[in-house]
Amino acid sequence: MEAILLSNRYRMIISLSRLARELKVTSPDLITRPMGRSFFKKVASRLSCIQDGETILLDFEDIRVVDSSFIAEFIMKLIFESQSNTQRFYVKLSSLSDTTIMNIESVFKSYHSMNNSKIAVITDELINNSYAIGQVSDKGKDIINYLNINKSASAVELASFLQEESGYTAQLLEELHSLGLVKTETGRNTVLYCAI
Amino acid sequence: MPDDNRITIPNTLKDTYSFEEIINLREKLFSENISHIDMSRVGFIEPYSMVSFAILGREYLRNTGKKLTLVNIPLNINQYLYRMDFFKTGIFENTDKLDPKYYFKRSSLSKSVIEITEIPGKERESIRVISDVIATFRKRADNILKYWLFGSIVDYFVTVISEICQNIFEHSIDSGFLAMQTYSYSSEHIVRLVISDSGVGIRESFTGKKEISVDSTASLIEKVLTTPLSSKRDFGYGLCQVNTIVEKLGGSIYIRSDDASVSVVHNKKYNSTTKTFQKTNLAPFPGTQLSVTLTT
Repeated sequence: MEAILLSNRYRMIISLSRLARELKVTSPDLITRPMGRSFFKKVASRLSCIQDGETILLDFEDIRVVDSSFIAEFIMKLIFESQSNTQRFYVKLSSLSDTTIMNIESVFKSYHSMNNSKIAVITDELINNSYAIGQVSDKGKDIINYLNINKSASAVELASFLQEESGYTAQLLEELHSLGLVKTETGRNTVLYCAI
Repeated sequence: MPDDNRITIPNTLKDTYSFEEIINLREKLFSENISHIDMSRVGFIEPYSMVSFAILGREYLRNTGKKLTLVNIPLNINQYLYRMDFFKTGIFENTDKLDPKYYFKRSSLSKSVIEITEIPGKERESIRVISDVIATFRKRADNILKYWLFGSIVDYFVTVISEICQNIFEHSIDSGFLAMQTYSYSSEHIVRLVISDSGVGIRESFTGKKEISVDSTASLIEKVLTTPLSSKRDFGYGLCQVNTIVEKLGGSIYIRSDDASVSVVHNKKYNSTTKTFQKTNLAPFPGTQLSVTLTT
C-alpha cells in the first residue's frame, strides 16, 4: 500500500496542447525537429524540481499528429534523460492518436534496428494488448499489464504469475526497470515492482 | 523573335516518367541560349511535371540571370498554371496573360489542390511555411482526399508533408517547392503530393557518410527509403517513415535525384505486393524530386 501511495503521489502532468499554446504553436500537429527541440527545452527547464521516482505524464489530448522528427527530439530525448538524470524519473504517454502511435512505434523500431538497443515507453491505454510501445517481450508485456491491474508486486509473485524461474524473472524485471517501464519501491524488507 | 532561340517542348508533362523528355532538353536549353519555350503541344500537366518544370526554370534563371519566356500556352494549360499559382513563383515570363474572366474559380468545390508553394531553405522560415501548408491541407483535405477518406489518412498525409519538407532545409541546402492535387486521368482518380528542391541531391548529401557503401545513386535512394539513414545524424526516420505510411495506404513513391530514379509501388489490390524499380544513367537534374501518389 505504501508503494501505491508513493507511486501515485509524485506525478507531473504536462499537457502538450497547453505547452504548445505557451510556445505559440496553434496547430494540432507537433511536427519538425526544431519544434521538438523547443518543447524539450521547455520541459527540461522543469526537471530541476523533479522528485526521484516521479512520473511525467505527457498528455497528448487534442494533438492530432506527432511526427517522427518531433518524437526523436522530444519524446526520445526525454526518455534518455529519464534514464540518465541524477533523479531517476519515468515517462508515461496519454491520449495518443492512432497516427502518433504508429509514428512512435516506427521510430522506436528504426532506433532499435540501427542502434541495437531497446527503447520503449508506457502508455495509459491498451495498444495492441499492451500498455507499452516499443521493444518489449511478450513476458515483459504480461508483467506490465499485471502491474497495471495490481499496482505492485514482488519478484516472487511475478515469477509465479509468469510461471518462470526467479532468475529469469529478475533479469526481465531489471530490463523493464532500466527501460523505465516499471518502478521499484522498497517495502517491508522487500523490493516491490510497481506500475508507472 | 528568331526561331533558334525557341524550343518547342513535347506533350510529356503527363507523369513522372514522360517528364524525362523535358529533362533531356535541359542541356540544350543552356548550350543553345534558348530564351523562349513554346508550350503549344502541351495538352496536360500534372503536379510533378509542373513543380519540376519550375525547378528547371529556376535553375535557368539562376544560371543566366534571365527568365525563360513561355509562349503559345494553350488556354486550358494557362488556366491550370494560373490556378496553381505557377506564375507567382516569378520564375517565368508569360506572354499569354490570362484574362481574369478565364480564371478557374477558387470556390470551396475547386479546392482539391494545394497551390505551388515555396519551402524556404532556412529552418525558421521553413517551419512557418510547413505549418501553413499543413493548415491549408487540413482545411481542404476532405476535397483533396475525397476518394480516399478512411481512417487516419489525413493525419498520415500531415506526417508525410512534414517529413519530406524538412528534408529541404535539413539536407538540400536550397529552397524547394510543394504542390498537391487530385485529378482524373483516363479512368483513374489520382492524388499526387510533390515536393522538390534543386539542392545538392541525395548522393552528395551523404558524401560525409563513408560507412554507407552503395554502387549507385538509385541504390542509395532505395536504401534511404527502407533503412533509417541520415546524412546528418546517426540515423534519420523521415523517408523511411514516409515509405511505411505509403505502404499502409497502398500508394507509390517516386524519387528522382541527380541521374537516378526509384519508384516504389505498394499494391494493396494484389496481395499487398511491393515492387521497386530503379533507373540509372538518366540525364542529370539538380536536387531531389519526390512524389507520393494514390490512385483509385
